[in-house]
Amino acid sequence: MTDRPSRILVVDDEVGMREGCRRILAAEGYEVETAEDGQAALDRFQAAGGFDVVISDLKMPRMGGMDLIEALHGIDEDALLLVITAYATIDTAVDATKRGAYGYIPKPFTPDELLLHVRNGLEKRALRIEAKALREERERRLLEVAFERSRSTTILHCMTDGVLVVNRDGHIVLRNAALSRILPSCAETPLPAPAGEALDQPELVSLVLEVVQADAPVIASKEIAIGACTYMVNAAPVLEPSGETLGAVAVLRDITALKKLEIAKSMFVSMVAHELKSPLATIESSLNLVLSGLAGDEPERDRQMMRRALLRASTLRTLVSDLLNLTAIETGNFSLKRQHADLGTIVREAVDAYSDKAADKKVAIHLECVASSPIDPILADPNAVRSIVTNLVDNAIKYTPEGGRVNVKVDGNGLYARVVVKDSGIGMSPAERDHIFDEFYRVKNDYTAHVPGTGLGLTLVRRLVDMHQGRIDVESAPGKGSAFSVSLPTVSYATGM
Amino acid sequence: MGDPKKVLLVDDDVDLVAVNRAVLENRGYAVVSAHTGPAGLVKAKAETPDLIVLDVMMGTNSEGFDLARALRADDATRQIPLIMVTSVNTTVPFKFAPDATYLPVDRFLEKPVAPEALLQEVQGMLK
Repeated sequence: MTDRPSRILVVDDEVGMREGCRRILAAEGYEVETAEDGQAALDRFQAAGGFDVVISDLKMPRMGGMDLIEALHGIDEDALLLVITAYATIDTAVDATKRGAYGYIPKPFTPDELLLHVRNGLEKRALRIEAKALREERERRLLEVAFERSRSTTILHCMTDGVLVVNRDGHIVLRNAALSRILPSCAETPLPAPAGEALDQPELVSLVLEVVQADAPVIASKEIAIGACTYMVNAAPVLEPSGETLGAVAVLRDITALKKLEIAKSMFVSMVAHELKSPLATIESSLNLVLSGLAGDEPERDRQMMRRALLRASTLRTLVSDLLNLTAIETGNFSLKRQHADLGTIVREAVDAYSDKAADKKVAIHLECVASSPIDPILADPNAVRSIVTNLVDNAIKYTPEGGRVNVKVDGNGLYARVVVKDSGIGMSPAERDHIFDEFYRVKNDYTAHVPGTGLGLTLVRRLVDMHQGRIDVESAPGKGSAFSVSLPTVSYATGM
Repeated sequence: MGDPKKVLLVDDDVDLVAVNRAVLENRGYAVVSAHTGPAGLVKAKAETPDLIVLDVMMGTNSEGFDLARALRADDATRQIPLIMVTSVNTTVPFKFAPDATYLPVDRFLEKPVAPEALLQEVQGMLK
């Protein structure tokens, strides 16, 4: 079994006996040590870390052979002891083997007799070691299996998806913790239990039974509503290596959030369709009216209608470009090109660009710069800031009746630069104010009915301000006008310098 | 010939109201209009029109329905025929059917309604 020579300890109080045995055994290639009594043998045994065979006399001073057997087995239960005795009787031999000796040799004995007994002992020892190793291996494997099983179970119960296994007869044989949460009514049912009785979900039952009862392996999937949630259920056959179906495993994944998103998406699409279709329908009707002459010949009225149709068409174009910008922001395809920018300059340009429109509507517009020294530059995308400011100025003019006033103010406090657009217009209620940043929301009343708008302008403004880590505030009351203020971080604040 | 028949147009789209008003006035109808549901109810009671043309979606998705139900619930307006117009198509998650309990209208038209088609509907109802 090993290349190492077997190690033998010879214990005898007679030196002649000890040395005789040593010579016989050493000649055979064994490694031999000796001790003069039981106690010395025990010390030696411990110091050397054990021997393969101990050959011992029975009668010795201090500790005899019988006691040595016991003491050795206390240290190593597999220790092999061969007893030599000059006074061999059946009784002592039986006694010695009862105590654990594997054999005995009566004195006197020939070298061959000794060697035969030693070889027997060594074989026995080798078998014992092998058996022990096998036993240990088996125990280790059992532990591994138990660990493996408990690990699989733990993993199964930690899954967020519900797992359900039925056998060939359609009986539930396994359910994980998530499944018990999803179907509390089934959680207490002792397993195995017929799926049709344990589950109050006919769709789920028929799905797993479909897989179990199929002639060829099939995978079945279905969206099933359970309570307020929607689950994607995938059922697959559990197959033997031979390909035979043993049962089915169903996994229930909560897709409620996805379904909500899907509904929100289709609502959004239908809202967009509505927002596009209404003005187009009006433009179409206007064109139709003028071309058909159905309303008689009134050139001035027709021209007015065409002007309105043109305005509606341009509003539609703004709607489409706002939508594209919003989509770009949502999908992350819109990146700000932030640079040092002067808010005062951007605001002045916007106010200039809208002065004609304000004058047409007889609304006074004023630009006011509060700071005594120039306002700190902001770290912003100038195009985005222009879009923010023009949207606010345009809204202020649109929602302010003739004779009203729009005041635009720029100031700063070192951390933020701020633009405030205040009008003397129609204002809005707190409830309306809560919704003005929602997509497609428009305040509806007899005044706003005449104001073209997309309901996306302020949504876009809000997104752009957020992207700059800025803030937007609104103060408004019905009939008292509105004030929108936008604060954007300065270069020094944004860069921490 | 007697008094001209009176039509109430309720729609938040002022331009569409202007177009339909032009067509109907040209054919001798008297036209009054409102741009919100509540204003429509006030006008319907004050003017007692012979016909009401109503848009479904105004401030809210159901403002037109709400007005239709309010008109049917009121003795003063119950008998006035209603034409409902909408730009809502089938993707919206509620159904339109000429259901006497839910949608108490006499005709249901989908936008865009050509001025000629609207005129025919109005003429047909006010015969």
